[in-house]
Amino acid sequence: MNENSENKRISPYALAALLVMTRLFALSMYVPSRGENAALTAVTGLVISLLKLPLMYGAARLSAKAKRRPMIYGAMTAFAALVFIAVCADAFTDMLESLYPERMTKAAAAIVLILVCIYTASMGIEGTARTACIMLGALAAVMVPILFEMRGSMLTDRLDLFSPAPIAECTRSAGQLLRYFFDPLIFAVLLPYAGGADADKTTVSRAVKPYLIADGLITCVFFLMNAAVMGRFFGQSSYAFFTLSYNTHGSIIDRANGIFTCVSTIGAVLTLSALMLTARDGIKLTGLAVTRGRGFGITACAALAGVAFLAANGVKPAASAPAVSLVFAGFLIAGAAMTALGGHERAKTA
Amino acid sequence: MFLGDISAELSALKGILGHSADLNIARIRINGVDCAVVSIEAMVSTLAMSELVFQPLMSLEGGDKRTGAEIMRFCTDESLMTNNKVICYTHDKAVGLLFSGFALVLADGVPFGTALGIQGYAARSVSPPLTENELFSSQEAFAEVIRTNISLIRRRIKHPALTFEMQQCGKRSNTDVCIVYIRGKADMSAVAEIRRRLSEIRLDGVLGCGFVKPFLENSPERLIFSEIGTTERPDLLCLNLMQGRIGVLVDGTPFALVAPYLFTQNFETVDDYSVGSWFAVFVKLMRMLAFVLAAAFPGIYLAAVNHDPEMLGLKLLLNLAAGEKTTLLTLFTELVVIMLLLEILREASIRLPQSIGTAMSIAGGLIIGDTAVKSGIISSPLLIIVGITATASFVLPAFAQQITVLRLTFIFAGGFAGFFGISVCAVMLTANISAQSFGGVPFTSPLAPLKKRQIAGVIGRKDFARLENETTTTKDLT
Repeated sequence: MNENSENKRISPYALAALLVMTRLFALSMYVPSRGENAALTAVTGLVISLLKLPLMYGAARLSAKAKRRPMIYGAMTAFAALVFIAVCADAFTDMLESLYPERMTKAAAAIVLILVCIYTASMGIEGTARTACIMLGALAAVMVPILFEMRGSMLTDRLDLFSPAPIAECTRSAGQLLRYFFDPLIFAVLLPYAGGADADKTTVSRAVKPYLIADGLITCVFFLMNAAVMGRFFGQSSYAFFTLSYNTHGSIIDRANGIFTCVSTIGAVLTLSALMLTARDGIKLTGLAVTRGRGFGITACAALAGVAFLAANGVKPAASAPAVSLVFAGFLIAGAAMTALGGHERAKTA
Repeated sequence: MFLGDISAELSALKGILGHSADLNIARIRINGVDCAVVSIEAMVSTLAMSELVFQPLMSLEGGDKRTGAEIMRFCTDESLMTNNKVICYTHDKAVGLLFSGFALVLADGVPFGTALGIQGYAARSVSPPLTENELFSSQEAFAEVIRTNISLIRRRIKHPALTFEMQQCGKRSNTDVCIVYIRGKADMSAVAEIRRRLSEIRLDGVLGCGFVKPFLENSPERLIFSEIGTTERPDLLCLNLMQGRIGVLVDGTPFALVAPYLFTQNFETVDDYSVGSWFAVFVKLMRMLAFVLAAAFPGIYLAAVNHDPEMLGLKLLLNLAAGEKTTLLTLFTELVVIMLLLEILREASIRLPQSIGTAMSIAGGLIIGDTAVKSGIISSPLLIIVGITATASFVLPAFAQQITVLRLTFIFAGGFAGFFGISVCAVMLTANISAQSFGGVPFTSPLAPLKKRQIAGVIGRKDFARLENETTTTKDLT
C-alpha cells in the first residue's frame, strides 16, 4: 500500500467537476458589452456548449496520441498552460483591484493567488479534483438560495431575444464567452488520470457530458438572470457576476457580493491549480526530469515572470485572452482534424 | 539463560534490575529443595500471591519427597494456580514478565522458571467518558490497563472473528500495544501496514496514544486533520470495528486509535443510533454548522464588516457601527485579543483544580468580559460573536486543536484580505483534507469520491432496515 504512488486516479465525474469550476471562474470574469442582450448571450452560450462536444472528443483523441510525439505535445501543452495562467492571474487580480480599490493591491493579490494555487496543485490531481467536487457542492448549496433571493430584482418582461444586429451581437458574445477557452486543454491533459493511458469512449463521455450539461445550464441561468435583472443596462462594476450580487436582498445577508467574491476566488484557485497541473504534466512529457515541487515552482515562476515582463512592456495578458483562446482553439481543431485524417488514411491503406 | 543454580539466578536477576528496591524475593525450602518466588513490589496481588502461590507450594512440604523438577512440574502441570502461566528460559523474558505483574517461581537445579500471572497493581477502574459524553449510550470509557480495554471490547463483540494482536513498542518502556480487528471485515493489507509501522517505532518510551499516532499517519507534520481517529468509548470503537476499521490500543492510555478514519466520522456519535433517523439528520447538520461557526465565523464577520459592509442589513450595520464607535481598538485587534484571551482561559480551565475552576469562570466571564465591555475595550456585538464561537467549539471536542488554529487563521485572512482571504484559506484547507488517505481509503470519502450508498450515513444515519441488509466495509469507501 504505497500512499505516494504516482499512479493516482480520479473518477471522470471528478474531472467534470473540476472543469465546471473553471467555467464558474470564466463566467465570473465575464464583462458584457454596453447594450448587450443577455438573453441572446444565454442562447449563444447554449450553442457554444453544444459545439464544444466534438472539440472535447477531439481533445480526448489528441490526448491518446500524445505518447507518439511527447516532446511536441508536452512543450505545446506547457506553453499554452503557462500563457493561460498568466492571462487568468492577470484578469482575476484586475477584478479584485477594481472591486476593492483601497484594500487590495494587484501585486500582493497575484503573489498570494499563485502561492495558494501552488499549494493546492501540490496536493496532486486527487486532492485538486476532490477539492473541486466538495467546493462545487458547497457553492451550489450556498448560491442557490442566494440566487433565489434575487427574485425581487428580476423583471421577466426584460427577457426578449430581439436585437437590431443579432449576428454581430452573437459573435461579440461568443468572443467574450470564449475568452477563457482552456477547458479542452485541461481536459486533454488530465484525462489520463480519469481513464488510464487510453481512456475509452465511456470514460470520455462520463467526463464530457455532465460537464457540458452543467456548462450549458449555468451559462443559461446566469445570463437569463442577468437579462431579467439588468435588461440592457450596464453595471458600474463592469463584471456581470458582481452586478448580480449587488441585486440580492436577503433576510440574513443583504447584498451577497462577499459570497460572490468567494465563488470567483475558489474558481480562480482551482482553475489555476488545474492549469499548473497541466503545465507540470506538459513539462514532464518533454522529458525534463523535475520533481513534483520543482515542476510547480518552474511553472509559477515562469508565469509570474511572463506577466511581469509583459506588464512592464505595456502588454496586459488579460487583454490578450481572446487571441490566446482563438489560437489555442485553432491548434485544437487542426490537431483533431490531422489525427482524424491520419486515422482515416491508415484505415484506407489497411 | 537459566542454568539451574538458584543463587546464581537470583544474583543475575538482581544485577539486571540494578538491585532495585522494588524487587521482592521470597526464598523457601520445600522438601529440602531451595525455591524462590520473585516479584515486583505492588505489581502483584499479595492476597493472590498468598492463596495461589504460597499455599499450594507449602502444601507440598511434609508430603512425598520431590525433586526440584517435580516441584516445577507441580506448578506447571499438576495444579491450577493461575490461568496465565509462562515458562521462561531466559533472564530477559523473566524480567519482562515480572514488569507485567507476574510472579516468578524458581527451583534449585531446574534450568527454567515458571511465571504466574497474578497481577494486582493499582489502576483506575472503568469510569464514564470525559470528552465524549452521550445521553442514551453506554457510560463506560476505556481505562489505562490494556487488558481491561480488551475485555470491554470482547464483551461487546462476542464473535470468534474478533482478533487481538499484541506487540510491544518503545525500546525502554516495552509498552504493550494491541491491534484489534474483525477478520473478514478489516482490510488485511491495512492491518499488515499498521503492524509494520508499529514495529518500526524507535522511541525509547511509548507513553500513550499520542506517541503512536504520528507513526501511523502518512504526513503527521503536513496535514491539519488526522486520518487516524481517537476515541475513549468502547462502544464507538466496536461500531468502527463492525464497519471494517482497525483499532489500536496502547497500555497506559484510556484512548483507542482507529484507522482508517474519515473526516465525516468526526461528526458521528453513538447516540445517533439511539434517536430517530430524522433527528439524527438534524443533529448532524447542527454539528457541521457548529464546526463552520467555530472555525470561520469570526473571520467571516471581520471580512464582512471591514471589507463588504453592504452585506449586512442597514439596522444591523448601524447597531454594529454604534458598538464599534465607543471602543478604543480596531475590530481586528479586538477580535485577536479576545480570541487569545479565550484560549488562555480554556487552557487554564483544563489544568486548574476543580475547587478553583468555578472562581476562574467567574473571573473570566463576568469580571473580564463585563468590565471590558463597560470600559470600552471591546464591543458587545463582538462578545456575542465570541460567545457563539466558543459554544460552537465545545460541540466537537475532537477538533479542539484544529479549530483553535483555524479560527485565528481565518481572522487574519478575513482581516487583511476580506472574502478573498477567507476563500483562499477555505480552498487550502479543503485541499489539505482532500489529499489524505489511509489504506487506499480517501479521507473525504464518501463525499469525494462520491459513494451514493454511504452518503446517508454522512448527513444522518441509515435506518435499521437498511443496516440489517447491508454489510459495510472500508472497501466500499475506496
